[in-house]
Parts: sequence; C-alpha cells; structure tokens
Amino acid sequence: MKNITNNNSAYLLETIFKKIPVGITVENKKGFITHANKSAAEIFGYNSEQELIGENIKHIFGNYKIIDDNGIRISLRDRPASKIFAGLEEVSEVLHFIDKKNGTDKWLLVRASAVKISKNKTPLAVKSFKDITPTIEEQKRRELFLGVVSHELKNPLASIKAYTQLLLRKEDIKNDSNINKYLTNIDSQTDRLTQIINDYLDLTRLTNGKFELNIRKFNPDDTIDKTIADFLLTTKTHHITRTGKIGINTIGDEDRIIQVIINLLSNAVEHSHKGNIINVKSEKDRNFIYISVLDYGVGIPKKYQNEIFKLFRTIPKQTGKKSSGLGMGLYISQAIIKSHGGEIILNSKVNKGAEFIVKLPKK
Amino acid sequence: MQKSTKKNKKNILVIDDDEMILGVLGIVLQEFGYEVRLLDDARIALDLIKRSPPDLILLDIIMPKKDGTELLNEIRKINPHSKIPIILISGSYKIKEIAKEYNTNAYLEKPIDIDKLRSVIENHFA
Repeated sequence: MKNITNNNSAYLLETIFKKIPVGITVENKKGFITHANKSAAEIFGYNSEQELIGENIKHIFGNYKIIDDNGIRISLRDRPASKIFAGLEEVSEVLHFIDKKNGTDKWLLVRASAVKISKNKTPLAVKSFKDITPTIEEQKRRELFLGVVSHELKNPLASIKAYTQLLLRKEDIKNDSNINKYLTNIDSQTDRLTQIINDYLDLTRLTNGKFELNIRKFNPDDTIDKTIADFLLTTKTHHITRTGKIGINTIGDEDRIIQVIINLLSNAVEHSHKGNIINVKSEKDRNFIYISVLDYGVGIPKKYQNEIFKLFRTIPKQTGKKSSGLGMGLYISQAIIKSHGGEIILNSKVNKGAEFIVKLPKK
Repeated sequence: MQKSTKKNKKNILVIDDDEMILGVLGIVLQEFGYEVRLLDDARIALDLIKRSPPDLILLDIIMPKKDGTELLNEIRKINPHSKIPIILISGSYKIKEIAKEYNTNAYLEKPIDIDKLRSVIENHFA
C-alpha cells in the first residue's frame, strides 16, 4: 500500500511539474540544466524540455541581452541562480530578456531557490520563470497615459493662469477692486485645479503601485529653507518663521519631502487667518528627525484628527466654507512619509491651532 | 511659427509645442523687458541656436514632434560648457527627474507662476 501511495505522490508531483504554466528548470553548479518543464522550453524557444535538459546556461544566456529592474545589463555572475551558488537561499527578480536574434523582448519574474539533495554536496538551483510581460506593458501604458493627460491638462491651465496674472499686473485693473478680486479668484481656482490634478495623478500612481521614491542624500535644513522661500513666492498672506536645526544629512526622496512640507504649509494657510504666523520647526533626537508645521488657526477637533488622514476627507475651512482640495493631500503626504519609514503626527486644539509633525527615522 | 522683437536686451528663446503658451510667455517675457523668440517646432531649434545663440532657453520637455529631451542632448553637444542656461518647463510630473538627470539649471512646472518665472530668470542673469 505504501509503495502505491508513494508512487501516486511522485506521479502527482511529476505531473504538476510538467504541466504548470510557469517555466521551471534545475541547474547544477557547473551550469547544466538537469531538469526542465515544457513551459521553460517554450519560454526559451526550445522545441521540447528534452532539448533544454543537458544544455549549459552559458549557451542559453548568450542568446539574450538581460537587463535588471534598474536598467543595468546583468552578466552570468549576476543571475539569480549564480547568487544561489554564491550562498543565498532564495532570490527573486524581475528581468527584461531581449532576444539578440530577433529583437523581441519579454519580462520574466525569475525566482531561484537552493535545494540540497544530500548533506555534503553543493545545492542545486531550482529556478522558476513567470512571463509577466502583459503586466509590465500595462504599467508602461498607464505611465504614458498619465504623462499625456498631465501634459494636456496643464497646458490650458498654464495659459489661463499666465493671462490672469498678466491682467492682475495692469495698473487700471489693480485699481479696480472688483476686477482685482474676481481675477484673483480665477487665479486661485486655477491653482486649486492644478493641485487636484497633481493629487489625482499621485493617487493613481499610488494605487498602481508605481509610487517610486528617488532616494538620495540631502540636507533637510536646506530643503526646508528652500521650500519656504519658494512657497513665499506665491503665497503672501502669511508670515512663516523658522526655528530649530537638524544639522545632519539624511537620505530619502527630497522632492517628495518638499511636496509634504508644501502640503502642510498650504493647509496651515487655509486654516488660519490672513496675517497669521506659521512656524516651521526642525529638530532631532537619538533616532529620528522632526519637521513640524505649526499654525495658530482654528485647530482640528479631536474627533476629526484621525479622519483627516483618510482619503477624500476634508473639514470646514476657517471661513466655514468647504476645504478647497479633494481631501487627498494629507493621505498622500502620510503615504510618502510612511514609505520613508516615518509618520505624520498631529497635535491640535480647537481655536488654538494645529501642529503637524513629520517624523522620519535617522539614516 | 517664428516671431521676434527688436530690443537691445537679453534674448530668450522659448520652445513649446502649444501656441497659446508661446503667445502668453512671449507677452510676459516682453513685459519683463527681454527680447523674445518663440518656436513651436524643436526640429528647427538647433539650427537657430547655432546661428544666433540666445541668452537663455525655456524648453518644454515633452513635445510630440521632437522630444524635448532629445533636443536638450543636442543643445548640450553644441554647447558643451552649458553656457546657455536652459530652463525646463513641463506639465509632466517627470520634469523633476528629467531635470536632475540632465543636470539642467532649473525647471518650472506648468502652470507657471509669473513671479516665479521672473525670479528664476533673474537669478540666471544675476
């Protein structure tokens, strides 16, 4: 009975190996393929798995130009299987295979695992190859679409904004308070529309999983200073004071951090009276650096303090009117900071003001 | 479309595929006191830059007929020490990455704020 059960299991596993729609090969330390299934043969252009078995990977590798996720061409030694023989247990990578002969290409999710057959021998590398070309191409199409949409929407907005600002500079318009007010409203609504478009694009990228961080070294104090200077070029209704100093460099996506600071500054402006002070403070402790934006405006009631970080949640502006965004800014800011391993903390009391603290781990 | 105005002042070349943008930037830059040339086709831009180099270039980085990044590379080739400052303008979110990659002097996101534009240009001429 036991034999029959073992044979059934073996037969089952063998059938699964043969039929699974993912290419699987087993490679030994010398680079020879000892086992292969039909899908693997199909992926690498062999007529059958028998043709693939016994081949050396140098030969197969030589048929392709293989590029990794960062756009760098990989050599034999960089292959996932090679890393297994160098001592790793498991390696998983997305690789771009370009056929040297006909120029066709595909994207494969390659996973390699070490399998020890007997205690003393070097392990074998079991590799699986899953063709994810449709997924990657869809992602690229979406990126292109986002780029085009962004461009098409921003051009007319840019014209509207520029002409409005030109009008606002004319003497006779500056002197007419009604026209001045109406044009200023058009200008600020253009900014609002722009912010919504940018937030929507970010949101789409976040949900597509394409929210990439450009990690580089930067000085957060310099970042804060230039962000404030830039912000003041277009916002003249509030005073911004600066206190504290972090004093060290850190690593992260500086442009995204700037985006967060601008979001917090914009919120501070929106929720406090004209002429008020907004304070930007920076400091550090043993493990974290802190950037905070403090306003002395209407504050946020406790019941909303968790809500406002959620998507599409807004609370009434200090004038009692609805908040001008779609409620995506804080959600996106929190996502950015969380992807840096940090978080945004809120301290606020109604009518006293609000302090948003960006807490980032020291790196 | 090519336009030029005659004044003895700093000369700015604007390259953008959108005629409206060209029009309004032309007016804005003239108000700032600059001589302006407007081009909506990047393909003839190189020739113009070689023949009659501007003092500064405003370049839209995403243009259908000839890609702005291609043009940026070509300008760099004939202008290797980056003597002519190039400011990238774009509606695309990619502009920050492109600016860093090409190590260009500055970039402005559309819609462009006039005060920001003025300050960025003045900083280049300072």
